[in-house]
Amino acid sequence: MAKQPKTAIERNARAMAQVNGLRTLRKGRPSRAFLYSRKWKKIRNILLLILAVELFLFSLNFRTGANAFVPAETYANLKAMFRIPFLSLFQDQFDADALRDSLPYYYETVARFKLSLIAFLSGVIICVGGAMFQTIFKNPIASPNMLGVSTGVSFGNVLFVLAFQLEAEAHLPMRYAYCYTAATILVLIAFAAGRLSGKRLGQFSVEGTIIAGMMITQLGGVIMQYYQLRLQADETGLLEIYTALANGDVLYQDMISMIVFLTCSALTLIPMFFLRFRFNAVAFNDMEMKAMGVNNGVLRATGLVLGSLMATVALIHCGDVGFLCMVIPFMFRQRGQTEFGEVAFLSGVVGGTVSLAVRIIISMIADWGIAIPASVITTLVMLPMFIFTLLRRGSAFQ
Amino acid sequence: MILELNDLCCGYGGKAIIKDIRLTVESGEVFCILGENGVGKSTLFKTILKLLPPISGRVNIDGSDISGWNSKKLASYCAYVAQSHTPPFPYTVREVIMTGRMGKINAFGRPGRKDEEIVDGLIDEMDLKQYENKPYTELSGGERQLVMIARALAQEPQCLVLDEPTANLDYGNKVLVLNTLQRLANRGMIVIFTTHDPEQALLLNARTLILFRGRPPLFGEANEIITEKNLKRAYNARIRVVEILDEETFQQVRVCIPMLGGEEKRR
Repeated sequence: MAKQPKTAIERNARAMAQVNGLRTLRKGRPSRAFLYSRKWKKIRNILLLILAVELFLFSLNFRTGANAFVPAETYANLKAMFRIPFLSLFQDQFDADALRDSLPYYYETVARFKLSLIAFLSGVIICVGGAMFQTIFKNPIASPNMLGVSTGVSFGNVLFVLAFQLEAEAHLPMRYAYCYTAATILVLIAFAAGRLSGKRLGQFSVEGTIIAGMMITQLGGVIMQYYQLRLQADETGLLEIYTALANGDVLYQDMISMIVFLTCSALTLIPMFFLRFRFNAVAFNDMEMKAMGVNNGVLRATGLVLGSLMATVALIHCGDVGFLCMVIPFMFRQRGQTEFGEVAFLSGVVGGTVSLAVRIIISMIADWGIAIPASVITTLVMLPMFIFTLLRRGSAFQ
Repeated sequence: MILELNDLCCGYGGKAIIKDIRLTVESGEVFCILGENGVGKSTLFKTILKLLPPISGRVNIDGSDISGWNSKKLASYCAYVAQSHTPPFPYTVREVIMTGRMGKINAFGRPGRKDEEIVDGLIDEMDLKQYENKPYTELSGGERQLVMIARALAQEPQCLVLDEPTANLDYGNKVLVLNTLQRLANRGMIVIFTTHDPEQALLLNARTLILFRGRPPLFGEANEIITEKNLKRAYNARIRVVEILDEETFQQVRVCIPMLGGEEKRR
């Protein structure tokens, strides 16, 4: 039985809904009218297009590079990759290694699949983080690197290379410990500065946090330059290792790297997904929102932590991807998308697609013997799009 | 609902701006606050809405002291419409109104069918159907104010607090907003608003609080306390209060006209 409306506004709303005649269906089911509406058709077409593009790029990744795999082989290898964990669990006599060895190019196919997944997911999370920061700072060109995350990751890489020297690549799990710790410490310093500078006003100071983040970034940049010059002069080969780590020239796909990457991605994306409606509140005035029973301070702090962690994950596992996280959410906001959930979803999908496409381009170029960092390709792809968006700036944009 | 202010003193940093406010407002009443700029109208609002702690005294709702309430509970009684509002991103009218439901929706939740129905109802009620999917930033001042009122109503409050709802509006939009406030009060809601046009209190037959600088405030029926003498004290200017006949309704209407010349030096 339908619940009786309690308040005058609820009664009025129910009456209006009955007059409109469209909202009398059971809860949770879209109405028949909606399924035939132009809006749903548009959404469906966009989703189908996204699916087609992603499938194309994932397939292309298996057809480029030194070995171009036959689609039937790729299909058999991927099918085995998903089946092996289940068969190992439920069949006592199952020999996983025998199955793997029997399939041609199994290991290469799995490696490429993981590479695609890392590139795609890194693009997704960095762009969702960008959308988050733009909403928090009410600024369409804010970026999740603002709080010194990239400097933290660079410091982590430096300390890791210094600690393990030429053996660095053999101790990858330690790299994650160094990078995540360094990034967390620098972000915490920026937060502490925000808290300290806002103490007089009795509230957390976003401006203080940003200024501290900028100072950390500037200072970090100088230290990194000095360190790189020193390594260059030493000619020990450590500079090459550091550069490869910082640029993401190699995407590490070993089990620990994948576990760290997927866990951290899930830790950021899942809360962001559930809070996607709530995060719209931070775009509005704090006092108005408090009068509505919403605490913007807690939301903003949650968003800053999640956004910073997203940038950290992408930077550590995929390297510097240029200004992807700023341009893509900015483009959607310019196109009139405002609702945080929509901006984050669209930015995430397009960011993931661009990141994956950039990786494919890099592997194609690598076939000609030329190594180019991902950030260079990203900048070359995104810059014209950014300029085009700026020129077509919407009138409603404040 | 009964809103009581008991010996309320409010201000910033322990320094009282308004002292000893004692009044009661009940459902269906319009309550207007008058006073010159900086006299403490917004401060009083913030204290009522618990956005500012009172220096002394209490704010009671239905006999219960709100000092122990959380913001979510208070939001289910009182909704606030700020003086001016420009969101940084061009949210649509529907999205802006939907934000009013945030206090009712679980932090991890999304608007459900009931929320959509309430927003639909408010869009129809406020006659905003044609602007539903338009960016809020492209609306005129009056339309924006209606959207803000609709957003506040989406909270399903029993009391609506508006900070200068007709500021910067032309006559047409002023009438639109005032008619809406009258309709809400007739529906049984408490409507509290500040204004710099005393005749709005007279038009809405509001219970009125006049705040003076350095004198105790005055509280009473608009017709009784809005006099030339009190307005001169409040605004430090000559303001005539004249009675005219509304030829459409054949009712006597009192209006206030500021007079030029002879005013005292502004404090």
